[in-house]
Amino acid sequence: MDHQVFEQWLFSDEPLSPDQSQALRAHLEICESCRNLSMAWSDVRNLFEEVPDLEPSPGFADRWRVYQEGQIRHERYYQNQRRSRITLSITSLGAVLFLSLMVYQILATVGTPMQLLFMGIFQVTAFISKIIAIKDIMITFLDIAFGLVSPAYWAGIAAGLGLLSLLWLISLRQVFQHRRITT
Amino acid sequence: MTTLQFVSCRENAVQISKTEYLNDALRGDPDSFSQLVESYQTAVFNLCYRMLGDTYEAEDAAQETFFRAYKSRHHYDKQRSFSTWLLSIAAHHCIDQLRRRKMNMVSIENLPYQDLRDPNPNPETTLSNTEKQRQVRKLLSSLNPTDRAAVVMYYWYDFSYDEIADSLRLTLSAVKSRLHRARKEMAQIWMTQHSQNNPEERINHGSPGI
Repeated sequence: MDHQVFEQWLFSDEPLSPDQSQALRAHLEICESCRNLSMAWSDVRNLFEEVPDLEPSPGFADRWRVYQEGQIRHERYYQNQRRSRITLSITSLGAVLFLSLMVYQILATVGTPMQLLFMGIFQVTAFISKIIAIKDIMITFLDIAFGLVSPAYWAGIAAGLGLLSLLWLISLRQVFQHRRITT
Repeated sequence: MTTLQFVSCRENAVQISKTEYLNDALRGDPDSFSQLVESYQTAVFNLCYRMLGDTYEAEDAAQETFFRAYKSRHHYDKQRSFSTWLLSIAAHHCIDQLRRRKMNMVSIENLPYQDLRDPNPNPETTLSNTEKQRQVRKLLSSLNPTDRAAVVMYYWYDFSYDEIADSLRLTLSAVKSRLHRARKEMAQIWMTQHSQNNPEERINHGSPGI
């Protein structure tokens, strides 16, 4: 019989028929290599049965709770990062699209680069004159307001606004800073 | 009530409470999940240790296994045994770790050998157990990660061929051929290591089929 068949039987967990068992025994009597393999495998199986189980060091479950909290914190951090990146990408893409559309529209309306330059100068001067007009209105308003309200009242308003701004900054810091989880 | 009936009642009660906290744990209750960790820590840790051969790595892998189980608890099929599901997560994680380790070219044989915690106070037994652990580690390290997982599941966790196939996403014939190949490989390694031993002492052992 083929040597391979005996090797197959040696390492099989399926029970052999009495004839197969007898044939294997007879083969092991004459074949030293198979006999050695058989003995070696038997030793290995005995070793597997004898080797004791190991215990993890004490406090495994407690360490797991700490590990779990750490992992959850990490995952939340990465989720937030991913969300921010996605939001930034979408807004950047939107801005690029909007700008491209604007440039396309301008180029479509304005024929030559000279026309574009004149138009730009016109828009800038119009913007500056609007700013100057707003400044004049503000100065007039402040002149009237200072005449009507006492300087002490203005100082009170300024101090109140400063305090409110400070509170606002502290609240923002509290909201955005990392929270420490204590165990 | 006879002793046997009492034992059976107690086993049923333990089983019911185990099922209850398994259900609570699967609903996301952290305390129940911690109880599951307590119950299965030794099994998961041992599988990771047999796979990775290093206690520190085994501890990390066991922690990660429980975390993965906690995260994917909604995917757990209640028709399946919880331990089979949990151990298959552990096996997959360890296979990934071994592949990553292979990419980093760190052999299990190059890892520092740690003094393993043995509950036995007898120094001789401890020494013998340490030697056995070392031999098992050496044998398993010769196998590829998937074969190693199949051997560990079969010989230490009494998984059936079907369960191994299901856990490792292999066909039944692939499991059989992998186990066959692994047995032969381990026997050959054992033979070369112990060729100087007297073969007459072991003549009575043979194939499990006989």
